[in-house]
Amino acid sequence: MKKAIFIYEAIFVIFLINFIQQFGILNLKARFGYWGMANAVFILFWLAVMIKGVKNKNGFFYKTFTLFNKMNIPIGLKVITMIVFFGNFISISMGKPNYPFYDVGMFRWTSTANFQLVLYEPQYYFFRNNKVELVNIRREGFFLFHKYLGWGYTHEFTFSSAYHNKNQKENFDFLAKKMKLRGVDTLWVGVSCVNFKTKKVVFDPNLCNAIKINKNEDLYYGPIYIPEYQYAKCN
Amino acid sequence: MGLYIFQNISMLSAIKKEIRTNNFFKRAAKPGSVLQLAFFRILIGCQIFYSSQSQLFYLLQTVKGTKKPTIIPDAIDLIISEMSVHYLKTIVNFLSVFLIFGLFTRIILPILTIAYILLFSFWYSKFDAPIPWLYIWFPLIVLCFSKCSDALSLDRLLNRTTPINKTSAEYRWPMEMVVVWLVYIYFASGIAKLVPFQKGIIWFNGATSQNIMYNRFLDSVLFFIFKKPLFNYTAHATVFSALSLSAVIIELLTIVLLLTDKLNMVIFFLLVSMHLFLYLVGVPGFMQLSLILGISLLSPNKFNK
Repeated sequence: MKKAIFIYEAIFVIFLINFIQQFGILNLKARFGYWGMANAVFILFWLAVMIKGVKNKNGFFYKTFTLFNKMNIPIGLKVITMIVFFGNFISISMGKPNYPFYDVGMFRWTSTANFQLVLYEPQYYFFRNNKVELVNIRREGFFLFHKYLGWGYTHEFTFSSAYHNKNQKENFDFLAKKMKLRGVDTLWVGVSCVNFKTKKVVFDPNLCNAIKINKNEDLYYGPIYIPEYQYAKCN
Repeated sequence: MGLYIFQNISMLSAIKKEIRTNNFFKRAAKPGSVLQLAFFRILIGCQIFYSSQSQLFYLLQTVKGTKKPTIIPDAIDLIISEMSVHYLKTIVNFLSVFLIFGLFTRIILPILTIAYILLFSFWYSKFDAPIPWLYIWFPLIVLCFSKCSDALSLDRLLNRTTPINKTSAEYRWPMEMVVVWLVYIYFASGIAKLVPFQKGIIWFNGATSQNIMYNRFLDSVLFFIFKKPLFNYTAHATVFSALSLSAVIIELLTIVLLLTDKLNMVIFFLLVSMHLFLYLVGVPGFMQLSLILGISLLSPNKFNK
């Protein structure tokens, strides 16, 4: 029992987190279905085990705290570490970040496997010497692959510009301004498309087709911002 | 049969002994390496310099962005976003150079830490992903309390520090604290994918991994190199399911780092492999961050040769 208490407490924590995330701490309207009942029973049982462990000066939490307290590190860092630990634990339990405490929940969501064979991605391009030059914003974050932008255009910037804020005029204006400094007068929107069955990848610079696809297709992070002059040219 | 049981009992005893003698608490009191800690300091400084140079700070001041929760009071948040981003950015840039070169380290580290946390509060609040700050902020706090400029620094050159034995435990516990932070990041990430359990079971169908690889294909290194998909991303659900399972196993495995350092190199290799794969398929933001924190997994003996 003495040694097993460590395992019990670890299981308790996992079920506690599951319970909190599933039903919310103060969600009084939650329906206590099968999972809820099972979780509640486990939590009450293991809570009793943990309290017994602390009373007997045993158990994972008690031992960890004691050992940490005995470490030969500055007291200030011990205090800060405890605060950070509890802050992160609350974030993880709730499944909600509160900067700088974070639940590290990237990619935790579920998806449905409903993928079309043809993937469309509207992208900006310009003409140079009568040739089409594609501006793949995400590419600009890679040191070995970037073409137009350079230092400072980090992966975080390209993620924000290419995905999160792609539908905003302000994002387009920002990019257009930066490209103008590099001698690019006008940005247009075309569509890159990949057929996963035939493995063919093509870029279509047709202005009107880009507007149509941007409006009608189900695109990653939604439609891109298309400048007014492109709509005018298409009309 | 008897021999099999005996071997298993012996193995269990060996594992228990290893955990008793080589867990995080025991390791933190063992000899460290002044060079390892100094090298880590330099890498953190480089990463901060690189991140704080990002054009994202300027972009976020023009686009609508998000409004994510922070512990920073709203009034300070407003001051940062309305008028202080440029100044904080300059301070962080400037002080990160001092950190790289190890000059006035004891004085600049707390200021850099505060400025960094405030600057990236703006970053996070307006744009919640990716998150370089997660890998950096607590190790920065640890460095504030450590003797990280006792080597490879101008402080050392100018005799501003009084180094102790270069293998002292004073250089070991900061690196072990960084190991704990690394474990938190990856273990929490694994837990987040599993709970609530009903969601976790669905997550293992691989659709999330497939979604990311599919939608980011045209923005991935694999496309930049090969110019076409290597296989049909819309099919082969089993492959994506296996990838999802592998990711969670690797992330949860990091808990072993708290119990022993015997598997440090294995876990380091697995983490780097995972991030290299993600780098190739369109999730590049964490590769260098994991390498920087991964320095803490290397044995101090490698630096003491």
